[in-house]
Amino acid sequence: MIATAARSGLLVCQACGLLNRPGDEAGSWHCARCAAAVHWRKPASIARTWAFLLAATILYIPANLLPVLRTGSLFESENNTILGGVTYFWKTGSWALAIIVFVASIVVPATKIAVLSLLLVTARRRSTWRPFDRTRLYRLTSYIGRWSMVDIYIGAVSVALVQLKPFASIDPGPGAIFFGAVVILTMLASESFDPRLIWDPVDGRHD
Amino acid sequence: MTDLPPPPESPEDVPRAVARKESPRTLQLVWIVPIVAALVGAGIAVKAFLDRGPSITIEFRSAEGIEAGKTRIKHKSVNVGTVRSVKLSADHKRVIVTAEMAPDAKDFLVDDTRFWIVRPRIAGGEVSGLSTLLAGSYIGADPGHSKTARRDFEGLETPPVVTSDLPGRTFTLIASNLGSLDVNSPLYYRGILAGRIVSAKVADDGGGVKIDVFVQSPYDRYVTDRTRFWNASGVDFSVDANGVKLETQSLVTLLLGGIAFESPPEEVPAKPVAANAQFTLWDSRSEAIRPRETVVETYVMRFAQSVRGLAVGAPVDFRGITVGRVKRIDLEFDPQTVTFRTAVQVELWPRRLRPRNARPGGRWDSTSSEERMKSFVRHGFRGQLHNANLLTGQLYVALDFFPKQPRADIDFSQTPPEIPTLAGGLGELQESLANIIKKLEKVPFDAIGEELRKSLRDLQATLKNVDSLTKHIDTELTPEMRSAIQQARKTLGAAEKVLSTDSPVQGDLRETLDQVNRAAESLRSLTDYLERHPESLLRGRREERK
Repeated sequence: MIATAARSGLLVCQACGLLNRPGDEAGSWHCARCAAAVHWRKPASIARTWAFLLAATILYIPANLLPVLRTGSLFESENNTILGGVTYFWKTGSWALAIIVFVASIVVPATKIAVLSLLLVTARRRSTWRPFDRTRLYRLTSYIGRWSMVDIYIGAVSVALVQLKPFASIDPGPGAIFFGAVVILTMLASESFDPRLIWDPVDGRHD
Repeated sequence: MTDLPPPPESPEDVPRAVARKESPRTLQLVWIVPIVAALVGAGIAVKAFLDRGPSITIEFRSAEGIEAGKTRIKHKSVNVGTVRSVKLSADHKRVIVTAEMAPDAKDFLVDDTRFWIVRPRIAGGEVSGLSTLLAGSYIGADPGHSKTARRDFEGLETPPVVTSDLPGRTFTLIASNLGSLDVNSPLYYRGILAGRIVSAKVADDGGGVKIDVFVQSPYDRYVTDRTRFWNASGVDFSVDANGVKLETQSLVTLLLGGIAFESPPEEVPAKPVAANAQFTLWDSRSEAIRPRETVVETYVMRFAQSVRGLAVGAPVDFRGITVGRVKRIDLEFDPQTVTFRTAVQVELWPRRLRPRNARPGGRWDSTSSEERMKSFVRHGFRGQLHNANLLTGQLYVALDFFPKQPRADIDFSQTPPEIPTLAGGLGELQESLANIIKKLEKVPFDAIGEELRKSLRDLQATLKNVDSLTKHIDTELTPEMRSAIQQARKTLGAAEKVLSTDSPVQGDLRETLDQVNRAAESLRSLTDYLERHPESLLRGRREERK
């Protein structure tokens, strides 16, 4: 059996790393040094992560179906979804660009959702299956999360740059909002997941 | 994990977490996030489902310029749908375009809605669809008025001539031939563009052409049961018994063809007609405007002369007023006398013969047409062929009274009854010519010729005498003449010498003239004196007083 803070009846402040003893009263406990909230484990981590993840999954559908950009030329305007843009880049020969957009906008959010679901399921089942790999996956998830915003960034830049009305204009579409929401929700989900839950059953195995 | 520091000796060294009183937050609050997301997602889904308009299919002959997912369906430049897919029909002959219509475009999905592909087009003197050059083709839609719903449509190959929202009415014209007309050809009312040809097709029995014309409001109310339509294409050039005629409508019709319509002025008020009423398309204005006769009687006239130049349709004329026309011309053979005669069947319009001053219900009206004609013929009513135009040789039938003609009767037991005829016009001329020739034949040309020959022979002898005479003159008289001329020349030379300035004769002459001059002067002084003293003639010259 490995002695952890929790097992020793101590709480670790997640902000400054100070060990705290549980408070003497019921209520919410705060770090004696930095006053950040301290818990044994993040409260309702799994439920909370599930909630964010579910919301992200739901919004992932309109984010991909609705147009992200509306490009208008002199004669007609056209709505572009993310996938439509990817196929357009691929067909016109900009393979690198197509791959970048595809990975950043389709693969990354989908992977995050899948990885987080896997982590949640295993944590809930108190699985002891490959805890190292799962921890690595979690770190990867929280690391690449920020790069998902690359699409929104491109969109924002082109909207600002291409405003040559009436000859050409680019406007954001409703899909952009959903896409941004998906990215934020997956980040929130990965934030609310407590990775210590991966290790609790592993440590407990030796009981 | 073995590197972990040893657990603290006494937990009391570890500071105690600060507890704060807080209402125990319901952790379930976080579930609002996915619920909101689900609601938003569901909302979008519902909206998308509701926005998903009905899907229709349109068949075209070619899908040129149509792109799945891009090509729009537009009505008055407003999007009412988008093409979803383009594929070939099962027999590979046509293209089936599946399109999703806007949900509020339900009224488009009726039986008589029309779809067509808008491309740049130059036809009928106008250019259309230029914007599609750059922005790409689209499908034009024109909603119908029918109540029957429909989802599969047949696309038009050319844009419809009139859109359904244009007020006006459609009429059908029956013509024998489309001629230079075409769909989109203009329709004129008194020279103003009033509509267009919408469609033209061969009649079901193949015996004519059915032309649908659209007359736009307000001109459609001028179409009544009396209205006549005629083909105003190009130049209407006709040569008939009435002479040469040239009619044109406008320069556009000259190039593209067109139809004109008009209602002939008549006392009876015209009745309005319903849409889709049928009319006849006449070949020319004169043909169209010609009054239609309600009472028509048929007669036959038999002529012994040639009817060359008499055409079916030629006028029957009574003292310059057209009272009928030639219906048919046939040859008749009489085997007993072995003679041919031409039977000219005419239709007469007896109402035209009715005098203006006839009282309604008076004697004219109470007499039957049969009795009237009998009485006319008894009084010398005859038909004649007249030459309408010496240049073209056109003939017409002239009716008139010839009271000195032998009495004749009209037999109404025959059908058609025969009006007696007189040779006339060119026929008469031919007869007179024949008479002249006959008289000429009586002239003894042989005897005259013989005489002439004799005279000519005499003349020849005379000429020979003259010839010898001249020879005689040449040989005998000429030398003498020459010597005579020489003599004359000599005499003239002497005269010249005498008359020259330095000759003594000249000097004498000058002297003589001087004297004559002097004499004339003294004569003048004498006359002066006499003028002043005329009495001196009687009394003598008075002495001058000094």
